[in-house]
Amino acid sequence: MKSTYEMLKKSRKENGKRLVRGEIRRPDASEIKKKNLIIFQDDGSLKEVELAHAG
Amino acid sequence: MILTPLSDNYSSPPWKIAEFFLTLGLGLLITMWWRAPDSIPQWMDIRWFHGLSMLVPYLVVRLKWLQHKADSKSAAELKADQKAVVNALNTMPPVHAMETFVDAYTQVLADKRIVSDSDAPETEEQIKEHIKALKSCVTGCLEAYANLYVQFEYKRRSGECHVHWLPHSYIEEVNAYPDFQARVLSKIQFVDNPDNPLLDIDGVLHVDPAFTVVVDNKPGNASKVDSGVEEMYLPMNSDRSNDTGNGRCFPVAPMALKNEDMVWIPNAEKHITHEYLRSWDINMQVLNDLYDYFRTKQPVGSVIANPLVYGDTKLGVVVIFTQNSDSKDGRAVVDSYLTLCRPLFEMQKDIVCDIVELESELKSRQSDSPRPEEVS
Repeated sequence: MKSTYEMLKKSRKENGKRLVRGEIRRPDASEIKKKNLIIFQDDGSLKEVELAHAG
Repeated sequence: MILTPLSDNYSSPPWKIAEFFLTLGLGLLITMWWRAPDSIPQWMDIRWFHGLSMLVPYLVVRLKWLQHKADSKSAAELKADQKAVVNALNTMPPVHAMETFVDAYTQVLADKRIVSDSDAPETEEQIKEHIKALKSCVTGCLEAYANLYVQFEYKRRSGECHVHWLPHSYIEEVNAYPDFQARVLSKIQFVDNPDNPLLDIDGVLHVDPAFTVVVDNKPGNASKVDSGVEEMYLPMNSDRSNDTGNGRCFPVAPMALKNEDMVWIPNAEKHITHEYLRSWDINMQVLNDLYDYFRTKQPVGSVIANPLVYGDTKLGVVVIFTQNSDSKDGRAVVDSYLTLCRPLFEMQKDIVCDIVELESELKSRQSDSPRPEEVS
């Protein structure tokens, strides 16, 4: 584990690798971590649903 | 079958005229049959009369049935259209919410540009000023989420909306700076091990009154700081191999950041109970403290938590809540609201990344220790 700053540096470095010779490589659908919505249900269970724009 | 392929609309004027004459003919035939045989003309064969007596009622009944079928179909189509319109109205941002979004986005972007375009800070004082300016940009985002929440409804349900930004720090960062660690130890709550609060935790979330906003639903009212907030740190508990329930990161913000998913509790009174909280792998004392917190110290009705994560970096959680329950008309509306807020969430991520860099620089200067990349 690292500090937030170190993690951020790493994330930015990884993101920066998408730019190669002026070409921006957009992440594939499989590379994008989709954010879901966890809903608390009346019966106490948790329901996970996909969001329209999972950002 | 007769009449079937002729028209799609048996209620149109020509068919109404046909229906009129057929009904008239049917009445005539009944009268003739009643007064038979005197009323049947001499020239008409009795077999023709019987044939007409069967054909005309058939045509009348058939026409009526086709009309009914066509009417039912159009009624079903109308109902489906109405449902689509109602759904669109529920999930479509009202015009004033869209205006708020555009104004807020433009304003925060302009503020952020001013900070970015100014000279790079050199002294500690300048770094602090930059951080202060960037923090005001974050507050601008929080105000926008709150305003959009209360405006994103046609039928007013939410009295007021509270938004908190809870920045996240990894445990390594807490341990790296003694002053920071002392501050965390003095303010941390809901820990499993009160004797050693930092044991088995991956990080902390900071509930900072400066990063809170409350907005009511009266038009033109300015936002204010949420006065009921007590400064504290929430633990991001690490996983244990013997956990059997929903994990050790309890609702709402720690759970959202741990899963990197949004969390929505429509009705906290129903969903945050002793019984449900037992599903988390936390001890009884923490469970009771959490229950009291949601019921008395920070009453919550509906709540949405959105974790902001950049790459693998967990930046923090935006918590949006009202004190009344079921403040949104279902999941589709919450989804639509979050979609509208998304550009602001993305911009907030950028601002927070800049804050993290500047705070790291400041901490390293204050502690006289070089930043990690300078070491490597």
